[in-house]
Amino acid sequence: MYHASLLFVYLYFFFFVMLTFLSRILMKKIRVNGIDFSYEKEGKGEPIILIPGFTNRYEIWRKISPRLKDFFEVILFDHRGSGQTTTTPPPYTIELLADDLIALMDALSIKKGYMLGFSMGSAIIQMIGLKYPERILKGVLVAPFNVLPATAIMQANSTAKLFERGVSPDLVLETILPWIYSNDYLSDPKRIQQTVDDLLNDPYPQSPEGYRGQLEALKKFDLTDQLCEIQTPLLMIAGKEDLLAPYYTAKTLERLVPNGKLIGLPKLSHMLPIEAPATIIKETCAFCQSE
Amino acid sequence: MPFAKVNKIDLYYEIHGKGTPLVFLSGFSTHHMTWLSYIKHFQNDFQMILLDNRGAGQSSAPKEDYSIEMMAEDTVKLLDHLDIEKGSFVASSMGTAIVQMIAYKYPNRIDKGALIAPFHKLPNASLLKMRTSAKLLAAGVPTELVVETVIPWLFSRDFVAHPEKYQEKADEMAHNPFPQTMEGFKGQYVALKNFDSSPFLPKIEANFLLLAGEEDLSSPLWCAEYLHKHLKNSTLVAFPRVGHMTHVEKRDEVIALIQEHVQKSFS
Repeated sequence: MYHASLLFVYLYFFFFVMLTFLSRILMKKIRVNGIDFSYEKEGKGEPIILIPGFTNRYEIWRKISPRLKDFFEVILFDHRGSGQTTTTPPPYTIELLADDLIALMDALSIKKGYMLGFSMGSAIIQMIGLKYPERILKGVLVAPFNVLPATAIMQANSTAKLFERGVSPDLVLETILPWIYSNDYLSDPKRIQQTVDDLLNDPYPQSPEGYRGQLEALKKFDLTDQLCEIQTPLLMIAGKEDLLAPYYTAKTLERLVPNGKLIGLPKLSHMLPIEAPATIIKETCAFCQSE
Repeated sequence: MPFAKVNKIDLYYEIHGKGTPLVFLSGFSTHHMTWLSYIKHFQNDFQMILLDNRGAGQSSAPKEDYSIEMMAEDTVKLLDHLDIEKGSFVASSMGTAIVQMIAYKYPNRIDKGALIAPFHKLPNASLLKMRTSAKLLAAGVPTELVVETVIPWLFSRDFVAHPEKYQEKADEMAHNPFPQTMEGFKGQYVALKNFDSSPFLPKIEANFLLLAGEEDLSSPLWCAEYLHKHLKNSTLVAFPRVGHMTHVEKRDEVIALIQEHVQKSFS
């Protein structure tokens, strides 16, 4: 009897672990805007939607969402062309990705929510602030930009060309790192190798079509002239040593949006969800919970 | 064309014009041709000395680790060879490291320095960028495509968005008559990786003009600001919307500022 109950406990524990594990790799699916969206909902409270950047999927928030779900209902999802969401033929636009997100909110019966967007996600928040102001409470823009500089676009173009030529993926991925990680992060060769390995072992790597589709969206994105119309309160968090979306792009946003505040982080680059998760959690909670 | 036998290598150099000696040092992997368009602006007043650092251009590229000290010694020995006691220096990027080293180790040989895109220590991002470029070349990626990955790292957004300027520079870089050998690349890379002038910057007496692009990704503005803060005698001029290749993007302004700076020293 003693052994049997212990076995039951073991089995229960085993299934619990398996379920937790499976829910991590198998996201929920929902039909939205004509495509299958993968998403996840966790935690209780007011909704906050975590919007990934270019090429990322929801796991870019892995160091952030587990903490936010103590305060919010956290919605994670993959963009069109990323992760487990459908890839449609390129090109996409930021407006299309914003429409996708609003349709996802409709499908999940979320009328209005906070939004936390990284890089390209910050562009989507600007679009939502203009086109769907009634759907966003406040926005946190991490590593944001009003326009992606031509240098960054050229970097992304040449990366696509290297992949197309069949250059070994680990080398192509390594060429991206100096643009997006801080000098401290890049001081350790083992960490560089680990970062490349993690990207290589992504179970849901982006397809070339998804990459091109999202890149086209970024190339055309420029709402600079309309930023003055965004009424949504926005918090910008930017690395002062960001080389991909340099700090001046965040300063331009702060200058032009009527209701914006910028926090500049010294010695940090673009990959703030990886390098500064604690700051993002703290500032997001403080900003969203303030009056 | 002349070579000087210094430090057991053949150092390529050119002399243009007559007057006060002014040495031009180029950056990582580049050579004296960096300064060809500067010749007509300086040769009437200066004895211009253009040279290829070891590991680049037509100078020897011995298969060994180089150091900035070694390249400073090469340069000073070239001055010996030319019977020049003292000169002023114009340098970009890695060349600015060599000038800092000369000012520290051979203070009697330097009058003034104009340092373009300078740094006390090259950031890790730049070192990784160099390593990946070498790996791409070693993997057989065509030079044109490697150049395409390097240009946005070196030039500003305005420059790369300008089709003619971009294409002219891309062609020039892809058709370099003296492409760097892998030995030269590795040697110069190690020299840069180990360079750190922060311990001796406050001891440098020479007067430096620091010229930096505000959008430099390779040696960002904070590097030039660090130098300016720790040097005894320096002036910093930062160019908005300019990248690492300040001497290309703002050539006319850079020439005027250098002339003003080095001529002051003899008045």
